[in-house]
Amino acid sequence: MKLKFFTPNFKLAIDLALRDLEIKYKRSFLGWLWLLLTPLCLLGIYTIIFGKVFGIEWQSHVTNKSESVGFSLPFFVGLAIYLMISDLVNSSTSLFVSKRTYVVKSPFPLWVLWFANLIRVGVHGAVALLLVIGLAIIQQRFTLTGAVWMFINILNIAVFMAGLSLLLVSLGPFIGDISEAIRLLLRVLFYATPITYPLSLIDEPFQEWMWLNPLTNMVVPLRSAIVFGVPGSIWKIASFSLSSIVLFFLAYWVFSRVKGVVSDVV
Amino acid sequence: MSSDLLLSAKGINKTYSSSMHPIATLRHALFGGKVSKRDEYPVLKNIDLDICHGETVGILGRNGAGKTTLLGILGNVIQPTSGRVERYGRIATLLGLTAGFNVNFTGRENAYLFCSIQGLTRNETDQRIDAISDFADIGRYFDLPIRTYSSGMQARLAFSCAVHVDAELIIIDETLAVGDANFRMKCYDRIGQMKREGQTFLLVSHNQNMVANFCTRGIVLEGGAKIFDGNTMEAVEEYKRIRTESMGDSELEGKLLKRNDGKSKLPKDVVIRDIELEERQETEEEVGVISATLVARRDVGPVSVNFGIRNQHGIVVCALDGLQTGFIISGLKKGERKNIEMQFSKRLLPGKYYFSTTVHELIGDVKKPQDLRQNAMSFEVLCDSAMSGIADLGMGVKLAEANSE
Repeated sequence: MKLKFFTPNFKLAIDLALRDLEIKYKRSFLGWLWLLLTPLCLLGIYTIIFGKVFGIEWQSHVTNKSESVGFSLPFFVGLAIYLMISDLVNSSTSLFVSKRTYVVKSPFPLWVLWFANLIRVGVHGAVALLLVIGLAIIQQRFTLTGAVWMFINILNIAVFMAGLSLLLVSLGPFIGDISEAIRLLLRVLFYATPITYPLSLIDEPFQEWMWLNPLTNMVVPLRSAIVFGVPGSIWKIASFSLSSIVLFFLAYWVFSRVKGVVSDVV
Repeated sequence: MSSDLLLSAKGINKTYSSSMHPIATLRHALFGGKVSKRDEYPVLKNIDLDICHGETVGILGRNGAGKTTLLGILGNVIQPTSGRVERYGRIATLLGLTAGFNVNFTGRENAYLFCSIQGLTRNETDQRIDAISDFADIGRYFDLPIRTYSSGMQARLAFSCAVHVDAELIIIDETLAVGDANFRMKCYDRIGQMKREGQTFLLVSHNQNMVANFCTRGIVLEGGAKIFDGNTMEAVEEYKRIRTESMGDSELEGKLLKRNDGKSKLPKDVVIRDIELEERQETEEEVGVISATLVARRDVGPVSVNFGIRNQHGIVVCALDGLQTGFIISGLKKGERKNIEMQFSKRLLPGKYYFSTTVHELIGDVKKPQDLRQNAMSFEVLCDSAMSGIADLGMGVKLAEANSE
């Protein structure tokens, strides 16, 4: 019975997500190419500015002598995560309001809309990930150990995204300030997160503070897995993993409390 | 009976807290706590409702009576504040025109989406898509975005989708009202045909005739409460009674009307009593005469009387506005009685008929209802006639004279 209820709704969520993507790209000339073009163009621009003009580059410390790995690949890992999170956050806060017709006219549970949005963002993320992996393979930095840790980190990121978006979709319709505040916060976080620069560029005492930023917890371990083939700090990974799970349960609690009244306020 | 049960709602309450700030709503949802009574705005009060296989249930009620909210709750779109709804089977819901359509998708894509929301697989939808397109009958618009549609076209598409998803129960909220006459006919035909095949419907309509003609059961909502559930004919009467009473209210509200407490909101300063029917032979034809007595409970100004006769389907056979015929009683003292006679030609064909009458006090050019006797009396016409229907129009058939040579 439980399963009978969930399977069609999962299918529906996938269907809604694909339709959302379709409608987004159907009206454009280049269509699905935008999925590739957006991250690639941003990668190009930032590589020129930060990599070439400012001369930022990453050093590999795996072997004793440090060896430069350039700018584009490590940066791309961070950029991909940042773009995905920013897309997720912006769409989540206004999700129920923008999908008002579904909320007030359609007979399916609200979590389907949240899940569909998560899938849609996930598709963008998956495309970026494939590009990152492609680039890593071209630069011959992709290793098996790295792939295993990459997989673990991606799972972590997925749990965090699920929790974060569930919390935001639940609170968004009630607190109008959230979407504005978060947009501002994201601007700040782009520079407050080691995306365009390595974490080691920050002075030691401040490095620990950087880990309070969830984006750091996603970017640094994933970068270390893909670019350097090592896990980085396993404790950091474990604590982020635990926090993500706690976040998810908190979000689930909030969602189950407010889902009944969402249709009253949108 | 329980195996036939499709939907069962118990103790449904819905309260909106419209004056509350969204953040207050959120705090209340998260941490509970009391909401001040002033903020609470009850829309539905303790509604129980069972719907079984093969029924066609019509819901009547004035604007704001809670019809759409109730449908939303039954169709799993809105969550009730308290109460439980159990659903056994697929329920297709058309709330408003668009049924959750996305205006940027074409009709075809929306049809797929609708079916997908109703739990149909892509294959199942593929098999139905032609039927949906044919029935909606919107031609090349089927492949254009919904935003180019007229409201009638949207309704066509929505209705067509709803009847093709093999739902056990179809819930329709006034969608049909926007279609043109042809399409409405087509929908009614379709509903009729599906009804015969055992399809269950739940309809909301302002149109009493539609409820009277199509439904097997009528429900009347008023002020968020279910005040009637049963026979459609009686439901229609109940609905009309509410409407008439409230009309008196709204026309004169604040100006003239002092409300009486109690069930009926009519002032009843003058009441109609002792309604009786007799048959009489007038000079030319037989007439029915309804005699009644007006009793004044207080001094009242000029009064007039309306009356009418309905058949068992609730259709008005004939009604008379007494004022327009010049029938005015110029005023009644407290305790005064006047006998009146209302008459009509005996042209009714066999069937059961209901007599209703109202008495108005005339204040300026406003008619203030004083007493309403809905279906005060019923009578049956029994005779052997070749004609059937409602009224004897003196029909006949014969050979035309031109044939005789």
